[in-house]
Amino acid sequence: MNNKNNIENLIERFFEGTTSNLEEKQLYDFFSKEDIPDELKKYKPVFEYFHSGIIKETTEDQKQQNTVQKKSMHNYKKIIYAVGGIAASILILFSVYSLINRQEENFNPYEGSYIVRNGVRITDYDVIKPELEKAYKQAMLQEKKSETILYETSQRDKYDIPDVENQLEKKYYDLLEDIDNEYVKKELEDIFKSI
Amino acid sequence: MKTKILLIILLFIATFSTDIFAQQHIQAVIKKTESIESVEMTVVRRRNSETKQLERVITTINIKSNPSLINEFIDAFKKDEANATQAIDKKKNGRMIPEFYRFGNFSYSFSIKNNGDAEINVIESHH
Repeated sequence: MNNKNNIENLIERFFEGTTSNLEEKQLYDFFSKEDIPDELKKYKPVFEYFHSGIIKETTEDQKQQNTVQKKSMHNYKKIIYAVGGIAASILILFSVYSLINRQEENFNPYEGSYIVRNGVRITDYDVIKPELEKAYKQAMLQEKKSETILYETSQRDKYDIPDVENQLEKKYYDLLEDIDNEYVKKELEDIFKSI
Repeated sequence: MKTKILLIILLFIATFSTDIFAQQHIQAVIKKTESIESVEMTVVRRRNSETKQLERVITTINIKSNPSLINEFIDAFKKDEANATQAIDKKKNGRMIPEFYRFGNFSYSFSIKNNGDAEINVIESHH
């Protein structure tokens, strides 16, 4: 009886919202039993709902909330990784570009060149640069000139063009051989040299 | 088997050293000039601006007031002439002197100025 009065009191206070968690637990445990007084059976579904239904809803809400949180975290991480990857790529590209530019600026086409003058080797690039360029150009010019001569000679041979200069030279040597007088030979030599 | 391998290696070396041995007399005189004070030597190592690779090595030797050295060079050219792939001689003061000689990747040009000084250009191509 006392217990029944106690329960009725708790029910009244429950609906007023003044029960503590412990008192509510008492109510839930009471109404979870099978042998409940008839006059209190009408409250059983209510407390069953409050006991299991809320937990179930809370659990499902929490699950949904967790899922939503996980998804948004996942998306957020994806964005961070993507942005980070793009930033890293830009940084790498910029570094490579800077390195290439620096190499091109430091490029010296005459690296390793030097001049030996009076037995002393001079390697200071700023000092010898004009002479290096001059020597390079002169050498290229000389090579070009030689190639021109070679080409002309090959064309002469190809088309069987008589080499007048060589023929004259041969005759000159033949003539000198026939002369016994050294004085005359010398005079003729001087004349031919001057031609 | 070992003999065959040795022969192959020797042939391989010989193929690439042909140019060097072909001009050995000229190279010997050039080596000698490095230590002579009256000789000025310019060595230009030229690289391609785009590929950064070595294109040519140009050695210019200027000989002043040293007729014996000039004659040494002329004799060296004559000794190596038979090995040259291309050779041009020129008559100067009644004397045939070398003007342009080529040995594979090496080309030499030789000139004597009116004052008796001489200039030798050696171009070694690397392409």
